[in-house]
Amino acid sequence: MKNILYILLLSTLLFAYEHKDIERLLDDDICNNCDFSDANLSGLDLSVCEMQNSNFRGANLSNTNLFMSDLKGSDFTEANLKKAMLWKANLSFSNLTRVQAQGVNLKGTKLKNSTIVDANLSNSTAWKANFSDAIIENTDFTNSELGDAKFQNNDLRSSNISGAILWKTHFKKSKLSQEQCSYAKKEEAILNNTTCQKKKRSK
Amino acid sequence: MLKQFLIFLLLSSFTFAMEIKNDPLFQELYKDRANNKKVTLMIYSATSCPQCAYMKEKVFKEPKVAAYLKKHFLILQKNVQKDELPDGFDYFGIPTIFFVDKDGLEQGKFVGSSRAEPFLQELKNISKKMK
Repeated sequence: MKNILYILLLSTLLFAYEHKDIERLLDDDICNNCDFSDANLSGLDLSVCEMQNSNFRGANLSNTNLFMSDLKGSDFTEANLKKAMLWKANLSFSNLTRVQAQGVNLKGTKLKNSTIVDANLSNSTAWKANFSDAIIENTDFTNSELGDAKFQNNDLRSSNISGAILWKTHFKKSKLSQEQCSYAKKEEAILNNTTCQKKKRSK
Repeated sequence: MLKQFLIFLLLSSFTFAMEIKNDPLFQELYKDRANNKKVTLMIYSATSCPQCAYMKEKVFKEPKVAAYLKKHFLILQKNVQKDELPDGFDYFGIPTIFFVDKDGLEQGKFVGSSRAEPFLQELKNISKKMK
């Protein structure tokens, strides 16, 4: 039964990525340095898998279960991560440029040193996520749950955090706009060595 | 291997549970007959869960929510590290809030957290449903 499902899955996928990489991943739960670009992995259970330094450019990962998966250093440029489950996953040093990730679950996710540019993370759940040293530009965090998340050495001035839950969110050595600072304080965020500056114009 | 271990852990957490009607804490809530029309809000949470703390310390204490809870609900707290969920109740992720009638039947479930206003609406919907 499992084999039939694999064949069906493989036959529906596009050819931008390596078929052998999908097979390897589904068989062993490990596929580092693999190519999943433009692949349709929507709704699959890829939890507790190891996929470091892999290429997910343009891939469809909507509703995919990536719970506790190790995706360190991977490239998600223009990927669809809508409602994906990335709870406790490792996305450190990954590239999330122009991802569509509305409603994504990033609870306890490691995003240290990642690149999050022109991304849509609105309505996401990111309690206790770690964004330290990430490059964050022009990203939409509207109505997201960022409680107890950690922002360190981040510049959020060109991003939108309106409506986000910032209860006990830690901002350390970061840059916020004056408006964002007022909002963060009202939300009971913890600001430490964080500057409140003029809003940075988005590119 | 780790996946199988996690599934085993999850399944093992459902063993040795008892019916909620036999839970002394649940029985205590309905000792007073005046509470018979109230719904039990059973929150399954953990000490180390910020989302749970937000619901309990912030949302439940918001004046409008607090007043509504006091009037229509009874609170029962269960800790994922100490307590088994009663028979017939299951969860994926915390906090999970179960709405239980006085006969011990689950009438609704709310997973995760929210702002006070939508949560109050959720409470109103449950109250309306159970009238």
